[in-house]
Amino acid sequence: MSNFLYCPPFENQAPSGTWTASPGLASGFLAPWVADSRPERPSRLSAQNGYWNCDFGSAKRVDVLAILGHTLSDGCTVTLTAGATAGATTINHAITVPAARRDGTTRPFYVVITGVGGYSASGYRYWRVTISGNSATYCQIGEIWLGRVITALPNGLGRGATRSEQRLDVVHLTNRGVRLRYDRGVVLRQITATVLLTSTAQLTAVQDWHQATKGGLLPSLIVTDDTDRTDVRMAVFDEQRQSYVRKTMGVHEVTLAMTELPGAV
Amino acid sequence: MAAFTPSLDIARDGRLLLPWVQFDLQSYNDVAGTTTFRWSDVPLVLADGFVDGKITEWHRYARALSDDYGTFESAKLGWTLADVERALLDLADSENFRYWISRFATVYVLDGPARLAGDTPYVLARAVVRNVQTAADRGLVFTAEDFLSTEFSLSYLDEALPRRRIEKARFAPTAPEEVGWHDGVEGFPEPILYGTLSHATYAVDDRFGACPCYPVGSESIAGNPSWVRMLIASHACKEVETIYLDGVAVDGARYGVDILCPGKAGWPFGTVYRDIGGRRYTVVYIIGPDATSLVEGTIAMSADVKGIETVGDGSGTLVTAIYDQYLHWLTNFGLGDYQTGAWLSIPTWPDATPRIDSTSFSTAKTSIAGRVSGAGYVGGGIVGSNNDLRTFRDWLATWNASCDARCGFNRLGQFIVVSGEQQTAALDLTEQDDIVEGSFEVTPDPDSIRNVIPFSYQREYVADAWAVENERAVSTLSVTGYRRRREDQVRALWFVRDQATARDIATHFLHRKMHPARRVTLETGLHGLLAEIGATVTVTHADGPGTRAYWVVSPPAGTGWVQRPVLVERVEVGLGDGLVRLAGWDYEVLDPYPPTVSWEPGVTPTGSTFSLGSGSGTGGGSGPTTIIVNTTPQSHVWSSSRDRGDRTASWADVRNGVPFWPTASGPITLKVEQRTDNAGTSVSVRVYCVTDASAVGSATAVSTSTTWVEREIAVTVEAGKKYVLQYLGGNASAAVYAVGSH
Repeated sequence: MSNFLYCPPFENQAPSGTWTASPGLASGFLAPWVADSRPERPSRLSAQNGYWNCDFGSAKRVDVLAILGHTLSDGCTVTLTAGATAGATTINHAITVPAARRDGTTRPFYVVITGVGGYSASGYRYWRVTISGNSATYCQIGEIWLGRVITALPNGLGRGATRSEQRLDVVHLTNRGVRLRYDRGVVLRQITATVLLTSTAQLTAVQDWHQATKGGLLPSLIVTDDTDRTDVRMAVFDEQRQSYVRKTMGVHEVTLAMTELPGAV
Repeated sequence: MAAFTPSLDIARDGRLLLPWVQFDLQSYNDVAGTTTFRWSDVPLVLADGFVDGKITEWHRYARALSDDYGTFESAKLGWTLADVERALLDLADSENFRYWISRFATVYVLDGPARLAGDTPYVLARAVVRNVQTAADRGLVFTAEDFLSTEFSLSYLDEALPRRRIEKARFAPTAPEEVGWHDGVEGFPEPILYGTLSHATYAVDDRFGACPCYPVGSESIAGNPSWVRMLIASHACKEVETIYLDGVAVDGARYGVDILCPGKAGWPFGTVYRDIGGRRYTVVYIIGPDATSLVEGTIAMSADVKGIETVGDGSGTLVTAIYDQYLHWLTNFGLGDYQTGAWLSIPTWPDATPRIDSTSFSTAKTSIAGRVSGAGYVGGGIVGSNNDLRTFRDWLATWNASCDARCGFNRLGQFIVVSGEQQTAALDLTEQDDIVEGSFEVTPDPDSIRNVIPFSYQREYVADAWAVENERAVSTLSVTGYRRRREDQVRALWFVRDQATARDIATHFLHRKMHPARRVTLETGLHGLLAEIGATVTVTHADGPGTRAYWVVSPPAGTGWVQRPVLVERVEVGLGDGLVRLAGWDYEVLDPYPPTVSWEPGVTPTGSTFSLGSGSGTGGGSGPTTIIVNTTPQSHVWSSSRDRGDRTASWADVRNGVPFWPTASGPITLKVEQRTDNAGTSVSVRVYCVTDASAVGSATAVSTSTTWVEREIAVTVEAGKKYVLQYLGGNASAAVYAVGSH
């Protein structure tokens, strides 16, 4: 059975770091944009390959890495390294970029690194994401998520969970049915599901999560199916109001409706 | 690097549509440079950086040609911005960046492949921000318009032109110069002369020069401080042909003696122009008793002149084509503020794009080059004569009428002109591939019929009247066919000086208006942007009424429109919905040119024009007055001037008096103002028929007052006879002038 994973915004360590890039940045782009919780505003390197480097100032724990809104070519390599000094490779984990979707949109991906060689729950000060073998015109990433922990919903998604996907465009028809269509380049994935919370602790955890997003203002990292490494997304709650229905003593039901934040076009 | 242009392929392929707006927030007085903001409705990554997706709504962007009377619709652009991070809101109190109006905004478009290829973006619109209004939730609503509507002030179009005014401080600031100064001209616009302004050219009474001259102070020349300076133009002229005093051409022997005229013997200056107080002028000088009389306003000077030439120092080629004159005026006196030196260049946008599309002027001129037996439209006129101040908008309408043109703004924010029936094929739109379902409409406009076109031309600036007024071009066919005579408002052709051109303009206008217009509207994709206003699209649609297509093809019956030409008059773009709405005019409603025209004559004096003195007599006051004397069925024009009358014991013509030839018989009423400097001495005024050598009825007004007194003289005149105003008595200071009224 697959699990629904989530990482609330307060668990994202990336925005607290100091980000730099090598060999440099394309004109008009900044390195910190790769960790500003805005996947639609990417950071772009000045070359096809290179790296983004994060200095936390002190050791911080990172259990999950997610790469979203990227333009990397299929099959190129993203290497996550980390250590106590800049460029250290105490953690040295290579990830193959998944193939793009049929519509040409690249797929985000994530990896839980708790089982990777060199992992430490104490974390490290320096973290680096290195791109190699990229053949796409640009080396660009919308967001790097460095999650301290990632949590599974204890009872998974309830029966009837709905996943949907919408591509935004403009369409008009002529009298003869010929379509005049303009692609907006935006794909929004959405999930709606009910979740059963069978303990006070579970209820509190979900409540904390929703509160941390400030009613849906701040994005979370979610994985709707942890058997698919490309299923990750940054998403926000659709509704400002979150309701918890008490089914019976100690058992609550909550409806999760979340929509993905789009990347840059 | 290629330039991206919208095409149907974008919509066919469903390509990415990437629009954004660039707002150049220039600091106040430019003390802190310019901060550039870029926004779109989706977050965009461009080759040179990131564009934030903060636009929540694109307002529809509309541009249109002026209507048939020169009134044009401001090009409008706008968007709503979600300034959640307060990037602009927090600048509202900034010392340097708190002023947002009159800053430039440009909307660009690319598609996905063009972005990857690094193509130059397509400029969809360029405008000047007119207003930024706050809205809920940190929203900012931007409204921008074309530069004529907003640039210098919110009422730029209403600015009174010409800007340059006759100023005593410039011409005669101190005592010696003041001798030749006439208070009555203070504040008058400095005249701008185009074309050949000569009565002799037009085979009318050559007693009077075409251009009034104004006394503007004295100047010392060769040690003599008594030379009176007479202003002709606010720039260098190609040639001053002839000088007239009181309607009589001066003896050529006087040039270099008591009259100094550029280009004539004895002109003491190295240039044909004079730079005075930082401004360039064409002036003549006169000394002696006539100079004194000119300053007193008891006689008048006028001149035949060839006006503006191509260089600015009198050495260039005379600018004769009306479209060239239009462009020149717009560049130098409309948008620009010419003072001296070489003519100005067309002003530009910050990216060096000229604000006027001069090519549109040459294209329009070429399109009418075959008119008037291949001469095109040659014109001339004076801007600002006789204290003629008008708004910028009104001057554009004036030029448009004389050129048979319409104007507007293209997508680059450039001012353009289009001649009345110019046909520039731009785009082919079909029901199958291009026209959005349900959007095609053809609406007849029966109220647009005009089968009687009155027009006036050859402005006589000395008389301040039309030489030909209210001539009418009539389509009897239309009057009969639609069972009604629909007369248009008078088309005043201020820069047309010959009958052939005037009638050609009237004929073309009649041709377009004698049948009901058919307004066409349709919507298409963004490739509709290729149809600029004033261009022609061809439309194929089964719902089109009629089948005639004399311009392109002849379709079989029952197929509706096949490549039917439509003049694009209005373009409206919705970036939010990816649609372009075109509104235009169906050419096919026109009959073949030329239509059969009947001419109803206007008011024209038999063989004469009018001369008018200027300035004021000892009684003070302003200069010449133009009078309309209305009788049934037509109007008469009689202009006269204040005039000094010498004491006389017998009836004498008012000096510089204006003869009058009524074109219809009937009663008229003249208002005569008169006075005498010697109380108790009477001054009598009467109307005298020269043809019959007799006074007309009881047409006498007597005054013994030393103050100006207005009296009425009621007379009955007969068509074709010559009349003059006469006086009797008074003394050396008496003056009379006549004002006709109905």
